[in-house]
Amino acid sequence: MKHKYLSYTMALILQAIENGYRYGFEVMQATGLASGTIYPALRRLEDAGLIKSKWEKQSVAVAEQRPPRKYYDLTKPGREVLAEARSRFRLLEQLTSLNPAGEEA
Amino acid sequence: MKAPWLWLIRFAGLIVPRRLRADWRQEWEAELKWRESQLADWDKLNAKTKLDLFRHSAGAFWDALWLQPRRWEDDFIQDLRYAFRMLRKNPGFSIIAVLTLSLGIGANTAIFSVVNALLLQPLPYPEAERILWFGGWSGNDKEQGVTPADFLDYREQSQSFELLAAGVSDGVAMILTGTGEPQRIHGAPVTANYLDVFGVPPLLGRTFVAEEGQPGREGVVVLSFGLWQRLFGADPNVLNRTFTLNNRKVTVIGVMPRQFQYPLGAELWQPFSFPASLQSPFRSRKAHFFRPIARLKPGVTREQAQGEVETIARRLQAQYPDTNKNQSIYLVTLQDRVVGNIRQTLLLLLGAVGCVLMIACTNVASLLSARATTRHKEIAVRAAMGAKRWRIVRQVMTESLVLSMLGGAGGVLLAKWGERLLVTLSADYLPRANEIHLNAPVFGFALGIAVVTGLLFGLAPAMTATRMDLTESLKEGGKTTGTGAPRHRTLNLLVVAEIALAVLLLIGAGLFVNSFIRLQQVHPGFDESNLLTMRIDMPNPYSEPEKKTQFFDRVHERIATLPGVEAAGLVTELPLAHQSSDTDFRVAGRAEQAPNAKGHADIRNINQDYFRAMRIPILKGRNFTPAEVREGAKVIIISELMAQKFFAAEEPLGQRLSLDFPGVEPLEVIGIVGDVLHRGLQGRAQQTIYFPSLRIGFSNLVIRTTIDPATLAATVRREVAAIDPNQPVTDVKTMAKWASESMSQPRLRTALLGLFSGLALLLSVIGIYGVMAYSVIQRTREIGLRMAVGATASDVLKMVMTRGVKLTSVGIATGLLIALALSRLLSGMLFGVTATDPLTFGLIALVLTLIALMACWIPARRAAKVDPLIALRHE
Repeated sequence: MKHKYLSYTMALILQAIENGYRYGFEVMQATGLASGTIYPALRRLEDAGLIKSKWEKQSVAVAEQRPPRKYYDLTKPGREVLAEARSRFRLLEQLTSLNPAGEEA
Repeated sequence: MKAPWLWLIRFAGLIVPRRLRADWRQEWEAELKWRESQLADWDKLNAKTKLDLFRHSAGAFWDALWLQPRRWEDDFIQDLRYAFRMLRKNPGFSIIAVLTLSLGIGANTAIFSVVNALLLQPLPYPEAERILWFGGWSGNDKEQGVTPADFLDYREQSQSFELLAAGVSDGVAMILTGTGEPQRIHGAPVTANYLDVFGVPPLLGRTFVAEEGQPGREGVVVLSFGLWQRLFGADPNVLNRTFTLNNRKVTVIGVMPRQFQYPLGAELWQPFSFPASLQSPFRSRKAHFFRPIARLKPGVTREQAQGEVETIARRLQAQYPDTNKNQSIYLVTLQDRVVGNIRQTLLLLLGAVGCVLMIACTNVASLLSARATTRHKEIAVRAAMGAKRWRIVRQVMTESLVLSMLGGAGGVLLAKWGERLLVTLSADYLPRANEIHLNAPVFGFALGIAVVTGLLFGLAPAMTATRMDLTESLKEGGKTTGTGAPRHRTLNLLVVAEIALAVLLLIGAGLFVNSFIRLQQVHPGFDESNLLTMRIDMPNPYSEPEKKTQFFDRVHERIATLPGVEAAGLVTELPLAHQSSDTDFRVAGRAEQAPNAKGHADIRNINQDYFRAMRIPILKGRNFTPAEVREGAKVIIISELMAQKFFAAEEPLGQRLSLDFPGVEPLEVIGIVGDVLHRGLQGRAQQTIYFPSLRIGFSNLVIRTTIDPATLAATVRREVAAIDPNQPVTDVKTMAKWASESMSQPRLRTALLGLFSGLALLLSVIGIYGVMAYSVIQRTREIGLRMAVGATASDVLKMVMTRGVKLTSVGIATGLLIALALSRLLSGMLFGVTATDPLTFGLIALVLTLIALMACWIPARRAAKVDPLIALRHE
């Protein structure tokens, strides 16, 4: 399946992941989209091979005293598609300056 | 206590496909828990943030919903792949099952395509259900037309119709000249509003306007699509072209579209005008040759209209008791009229193919059931590993559906071919044949029956497969010795059903074959072999009777002397050719009220050689002389039936009859001839009067030949052309061909039913054989054991055969009972044989018993030859 042209929502989510918001809830807060949109979108992006998910190591989660998270990362095609989308959606630029560290301040 | 959002996740998780569920729940829970603890850490866990969390968790429902297709997709594809693997593993079984289903579905689809076009689809006219056909009705003759005078009264007095129009008969022969070769065409003289009743706009030009129904204005015609193509090569500039029709110049004002065909076979329409003179036959109240049609006013029902025409009919009966006694009208929708004749045959065939399909289903079901028993270990393992019953049923059903879909695809291919064959075979009498196509509703039907059959034959094996004792199955260790009673009960039931259905179809076919044979043995009253017939219609230049006589005299002279010709007869109405003419008559010298003082009979004008050519025997008295024919003498010959009815106690010869023609003196009976089945071999003989005359403008030549009649056709045409090159000769056919055409519907019915029942027989024999062979293989170990402890080969043979005989006899008995119950449905279509003909019933039962026993014999003998040593090792 090829996602030659991404919708704005999808591009936004990809951009958020690229910026380092790597799990569902974080992406949700970074983009301001509803959870009912984010999760199905993540599944679709994963089906399309633009992102891939992996569970974090149990030990890390235990150390941080929380349940293990599912992290998402961009794949190579994901990055290519995002680059293309960025040229179409200028607003994405705004998001590129954000990162998770500055978010909760 | 768990937070409400976590409950929500648990709940939403229920609809997530099981395969993904754990993962899914973990992801959602991890994030919500983390967020919750984060908020708690920041001391921000208040009502608002809790509500936010709850709102976020609600998104899980969308997420779960979005995953639904995967559940279906994944399991389904898995099942599908498994099903195909199973089918590939047993190619023999798969091919037989798919072929069986293709035949069943194909036959059904083909017949349905005809039923759909003819019975289910409305006629291709706007609001066709409002178009009614008028049947003249007197006593029991329902096929009568309406007299022109009555028609005018109905038109004037009725309120129910938007339009009431009529055609002369179902069209008449017209001679067309001025466009090359003279030709005879089938034209329809109609009232000017006739075409408007159908509401079909013309393809080119216009239809008639009211003024064109006035005397002197009729010189316009509307062409049928076919005639437009044939005569004018589909020239778009055909409007205002002229040609000669029955020696009058006519102008083309319109062309009707291809699908418009009414009356059936009409090639052009010409406005008809009512002559002013009340004496004209076209104002008659005696001659029933008008065929009215009407379009109902919106909102008026057929029943209301029927009530109204009956009231008018009663009024006319009182007003004109002489002519209108017992005369009434019945209204049917045009659709019923057009397809009414064939409805019964089609429904019969649909029933027959339905039976074939059911047998096919039963067959596949029993094959699958039998296989399910050998697969029980596999299924038990699946169940032991935790597969739910529904999951296994679905797996087995997927296999059935794959089979039925493949069968459906094959069926559509077969139907495509079968439907063309059907139309070709029955083109002679199938109305609306050009509307028969494999279209969307037909494909829908094929798909529908494929799915239904898949479910039908899949359900039994699916149930068999899952209704098993898990531990027993596993304990048996895969040995094919399972006896599971309920499994056998299903198989037994299927075999019985199959045989019963086959009996039903075979009896139907047997009755039709029987009745067809009788039909072929019917003596029509003449000798149909070596007879060449053709039709000669005289155009108007021969308006004087003498000229017509001369013409036909010369034709007769030239043809009778041709080598190979034994006799050349002339007759106005040829038997079996749908030509007819009749008259009222009165026996001279009998009191008005006396019984048998007056009657109704067919009338034919013939020449002196007609009886000799047809080999109709002269039973009493003498034939006409050439002189009597030439001058149209006042003598007649009557048929035996008429002589018996009217002159049973008297000498018929020398009696005088007055015919219902103005100015004709009473005619003397000079001879009696044998009866002829004029209206077809299934009909009854009619009272007939033969009149010596060649004065009527159309005639049929019947030529008795000593050589193959077909070889004379060209010569005879040449001879007629030599007398008058403008005289078309049409319908050149042998009498045998006419006879064969008159039997085309019974023939088609018999052939198709024979085909379907043969198919049914074949399929059910395969079914019985399959089940018996399977049960023998399954019981090999048991049989070996029995033989090891002393059972002889004949004991084993008996054991297997007993089961076969039981199943067969129950099946046959059931089939016979159903056939008896349904037989009255057939009685109207049979000829010379009752629907419960004991001979047919007995014969079919016997034949089927023998065939079924043969099918059991082969596996039984194999069982008897079992070597106990090998059998006991048999896995």
